[in-house]
Amino acid sequence: MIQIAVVSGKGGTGKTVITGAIGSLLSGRVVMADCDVDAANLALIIQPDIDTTEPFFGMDRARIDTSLCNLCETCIESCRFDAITRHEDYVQVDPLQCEGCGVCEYVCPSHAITMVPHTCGEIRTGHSRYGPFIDGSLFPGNGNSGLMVHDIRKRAREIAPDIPLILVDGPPGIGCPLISAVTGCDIVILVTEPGSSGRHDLGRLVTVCRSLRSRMMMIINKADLVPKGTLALQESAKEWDIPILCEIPLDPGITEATRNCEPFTRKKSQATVILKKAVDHLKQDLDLT
Amino acid sequence: MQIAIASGKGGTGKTTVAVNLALALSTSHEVTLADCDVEEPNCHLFFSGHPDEEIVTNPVPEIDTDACTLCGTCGSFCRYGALIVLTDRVLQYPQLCHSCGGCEIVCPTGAISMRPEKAGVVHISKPKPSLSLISGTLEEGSIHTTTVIKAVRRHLLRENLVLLDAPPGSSCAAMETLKDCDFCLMVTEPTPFGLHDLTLIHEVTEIFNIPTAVVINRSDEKNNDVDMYCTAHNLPVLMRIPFDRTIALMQGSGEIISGQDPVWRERFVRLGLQCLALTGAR
Amino acid sequence: MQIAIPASGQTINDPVDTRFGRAPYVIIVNQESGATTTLSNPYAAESGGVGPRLVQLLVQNQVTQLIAPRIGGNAENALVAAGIEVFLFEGSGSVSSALEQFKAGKLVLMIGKQ
Ligand code: SF4
Ligand code: SF4
Ligand code: SF4
Ligand code: SF4
Repeated sequence: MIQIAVVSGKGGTGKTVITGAIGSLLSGRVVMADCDVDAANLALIIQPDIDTTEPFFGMDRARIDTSLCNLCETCIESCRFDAITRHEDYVQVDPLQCEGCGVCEYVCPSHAITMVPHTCGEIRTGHSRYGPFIDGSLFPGNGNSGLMVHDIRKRAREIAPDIPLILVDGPPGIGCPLISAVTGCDIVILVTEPGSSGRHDLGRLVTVCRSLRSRMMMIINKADLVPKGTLALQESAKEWDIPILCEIPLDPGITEATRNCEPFTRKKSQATVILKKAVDHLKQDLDLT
Repeated sequence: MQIAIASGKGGTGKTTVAVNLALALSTSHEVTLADCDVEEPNCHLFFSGHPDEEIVTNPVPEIDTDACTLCGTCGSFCRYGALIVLTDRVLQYPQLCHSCGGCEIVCPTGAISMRPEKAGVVHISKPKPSLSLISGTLEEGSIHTTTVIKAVRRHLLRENLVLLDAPPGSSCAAMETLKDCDFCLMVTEPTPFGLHDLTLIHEVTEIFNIPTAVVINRSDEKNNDVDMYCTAHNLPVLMRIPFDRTIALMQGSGEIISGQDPVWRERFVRLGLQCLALTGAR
Repeated sequence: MQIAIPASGQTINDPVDTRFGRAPYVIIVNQESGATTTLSNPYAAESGGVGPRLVQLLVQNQVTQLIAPRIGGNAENALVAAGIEVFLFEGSGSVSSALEQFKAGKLVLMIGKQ
């Protein structure tokens, strides 16, 4: 099973739009997994029918049984995340601050603390006209996006074992969720756009992906927007030794399709032709033809 | 006074708004711009100067192999899988460590002490006499996003006018940035994505009960779902920025439009004053 | 040689559990004597770091081989470091049938030296 992650570091480069388009070009041979769990958007383009919605449990959270607590405050002193507060006649855990480390449970002399499962989001599975689909969303302010990404990818592997390819729409940034999304992928596609901040973020992203030993490819989106910027990206790509899969121009067809909530590749346009060629190339590279 | 500039996801023009607003308001106020988007900090790209640097660390365990009896207690305690005790050594994955300090507490032989590991840096500069920039940068490969944001936040003074460039999304990092803010300016785009992301960030501001307003970027797209959402939820739309190649070009080359164009400067000053008015301050 | 199999129940007639870290039991079989030991997985109900911690438990029980479904990142690293060989078992079936397939050489080595 081949796994491809599409990532961008910075948001707004058109990563999800491009993931949806690549997915539609691989129709029937791909499981799409939206791992951008803080803002899952792929479903807006793929329009899947959802078959199941299941709760997702993140790290356990501490719970204090106030009837056993003698207010010694040992837990408060030991919690490195300032998640426990003393009130007049009880102590309380703030579930949004608690990281579930279990230290308070260990130190409490009166065994008043237990670690309990905590629902912090949902994972949905379904199918679209292009194939099976999975995404997840965290309830606002819940951490553990890395854990959730891990879980989504695991389900993507299980949902249709005979489909050869998993396409992961990765989260932004370079932190924990990104690392979970990229680890173990065969190919990482970096979607970028010209502009000084784009290149700056990309450099950091490349460092992280490289440390995870990922094979990288680059797509330059809106390539004709800032010609100087595109040139600079091409140079960086060469310097990093990352092949450029394709350059997609600003294309009204993309805006139009996105507004209509469908992959732009469903209509013929300059961008469609370019991306189709790139995906054919990718298929050949991966022996998928 | 702390005003967060946030968006459901990146690339909506959040940094553009933050930077322009900071520059425009700095003509009348003492302004601090805090870049809390530490995974992709971009504000500093718009200002020159040599910042002071502060290293941010978090504690990770260090094991004294002479004292360690390979008893396994630390490994079975660590809920993040950052320590695994084998038959001949203790394996450590510092990149998984959440710095809870638990292993140090549970080790029966006192073999564990905590050493600082770099999580990121905070850069402090003063691009203009009335404008300070505090910018956090997460170390590549580190997961301690909130540690770095907390370090940025420690530099912020209550009495100053502080603009915070918030991390995208509704993650714990966004929460860490938003939680003590007095006002949140949400930047979005009039697309189905933009609407979806706006609802997410709006939910977060409601958890903290922070008053909000909206800036619509690329406002010339023909989609009024975002406007309908704003009307339905009583969210004032304070500014609309049309798509413009000149703006895009300037942005791409690290220039600030309100620094170049008096019309835009005026618009951003007005935006800032409107925000301040909505928070009840002047 | 001790081989471990994650299981949904306490005996070798119970099904192999498809979740390595969260399986309620791990059955350990001594391949020379055929003796089996059932460990209950203390981390089954926990959510964090379960894979690596279970690997540590296997190490402490002198396990050198593991029959398991696909295993994720952190647990995999731990297994490699611990030098435990992992044989892939993707179907459904009892622990004893998985063991028979293993003895017949039908399971693919997923982690470890060829
Ligand atoms: S350590 Fe236990 S007994 Fe002491 S304050 Fe905390 S919960 Fe109560
Ligand atoms: S589990 Fe850890 S983070 Fe949560 S309250 Fe207890 S000590 Fe604090
Ligand atoms: S400090 Fe906490 S998270 Fe880090 S290794 Fe020790 S127990 Fe694990
Ligand atoms: S708890 Fe202490 S003695 Fe035991 S294995 Fe860990 S470091 Fe070594």
